[in-house]
Amino acid sequence: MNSSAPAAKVQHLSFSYREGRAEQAIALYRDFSLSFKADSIVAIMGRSGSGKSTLARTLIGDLPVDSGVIAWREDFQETYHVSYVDQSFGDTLHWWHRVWQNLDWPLRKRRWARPERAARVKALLRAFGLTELADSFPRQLSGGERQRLAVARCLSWKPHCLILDEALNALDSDTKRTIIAALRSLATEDKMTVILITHALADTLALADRCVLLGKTPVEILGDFEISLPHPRDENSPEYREAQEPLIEVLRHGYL
Amino acid sequence: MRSCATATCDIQMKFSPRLFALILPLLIVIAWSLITARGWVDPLILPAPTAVLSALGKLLTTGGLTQDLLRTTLRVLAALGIALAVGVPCGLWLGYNRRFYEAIEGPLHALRSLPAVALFPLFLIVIGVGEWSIVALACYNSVLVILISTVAGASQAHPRRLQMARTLGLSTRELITDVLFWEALPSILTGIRVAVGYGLALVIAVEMFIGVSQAGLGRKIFDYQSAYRIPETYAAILLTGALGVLLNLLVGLLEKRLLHWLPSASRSDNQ
Repeated sequence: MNSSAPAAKVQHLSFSYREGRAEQAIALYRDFSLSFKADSIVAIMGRSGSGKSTLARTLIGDLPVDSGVIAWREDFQETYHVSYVDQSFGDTLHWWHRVWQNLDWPLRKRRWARPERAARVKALLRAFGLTELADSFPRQLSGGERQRLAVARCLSWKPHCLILDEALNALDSDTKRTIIAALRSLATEDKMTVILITHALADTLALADRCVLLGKTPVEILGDFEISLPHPRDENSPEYREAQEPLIEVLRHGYL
Repeated sequence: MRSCATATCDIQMKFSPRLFALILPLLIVIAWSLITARGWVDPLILPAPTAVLSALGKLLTTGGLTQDLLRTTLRVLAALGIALAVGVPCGLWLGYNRRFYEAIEGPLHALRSLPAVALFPLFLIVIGVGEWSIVALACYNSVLVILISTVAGASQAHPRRLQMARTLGLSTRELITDVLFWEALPSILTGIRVAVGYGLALVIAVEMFIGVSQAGLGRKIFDYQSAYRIPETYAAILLTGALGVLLNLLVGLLEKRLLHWLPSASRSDNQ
């Protein structure tokens, strides 16, 4: 296995959906190709209805494609290697488990050894600022704390890839800051590939190594940018401003 | 704390709901004493509360009803135990295999709508006159109630939670014990509450029908009534009612203990 090979390759994807009473088929994707580099954070941006979420869901095999290939690298092929999370990720919590048990349960199910489980839970609690709440039940948490727990949970067992499908949209700014910092450090530590589906430029600039802009029907890649800034990123640095220029330029042309 | 301006609100603040709940029974006892003291009703139909209470005291102290109380309670609990052992696993499995459940849902509801007592003669033929006939009949209803409420709870499992469990590669058995059981638990407890009520009613009714072993509160109510021992009849009825209240309270305690994690929005506060 070549570890520099892409984590996932979408090749010649065609996908259409039926709309309206006439059930007219609309080709959303036609011969679309894109590959995702392993161990990096890729943001997929586009206005709503541009097919971002469709792409994410075809990646996890949730939607059947008309033609084309979704090829995951060998070490991503087990279902538990790809964790998919959308806006309703709060609903994945186990209300009957305490905070630490919520993090521990996936590890137990993946047959982790006890000492490793304890260490991982401790590290996650710290990264997401939940250490003091370890023994609480989810119903005792605030909305933001619950969201932090839910994100911690969906990457707890070190999946090789995490797909965040507009998952960060409804977060308040404090929660978002904590989650973004934790995501960034865990992605690096655990060598996790992250695919971030979003329409928020700020999230892309805070997290991503690369940004792919989608638009038009059938979907085309309108822009593909490397964002090579050090972390944590400072919104006021000249490098940051320089990096966001071309993105804003594309956005300004009304594609988002 | 909410601020209240109205008079009714003031009263509610001063008296706890528990105290409030005592008012209606107290009124009934007062009315009862008044009716019997004035001799408005024949004591053969309605004896004085004091007569009933002294009969109850005598029966309890001499142990005249202890055996029956124990027997009836055990029958209700045995029926509930069997109903849980059968209804919960089957209900969880059916909740997971919705399509199969939808195929048998109609007949199941038909069976549940059938008054259980109507089946009793059949049970006598199949199982015979005995302890098991009584338990089986009480079971019949409880199994269906618990099965249906378990299915209802399990089918409400959040798709996201199930999706995550599948992503983690859980086996069907693990999915049922680790996720579906907990999703269904609130509903199962509601089922238990209903099943206990049905169970007690059925056990009492069947005890009246047959004189198996001569023990049981239902049997005693029937016997005392036949012998025109009216205060004792009322005493046995009161005891049966108290047993029902006690069982209900126990289910309430169980709910509190097992469902403390439930967000209050989805909790049914009906105690």
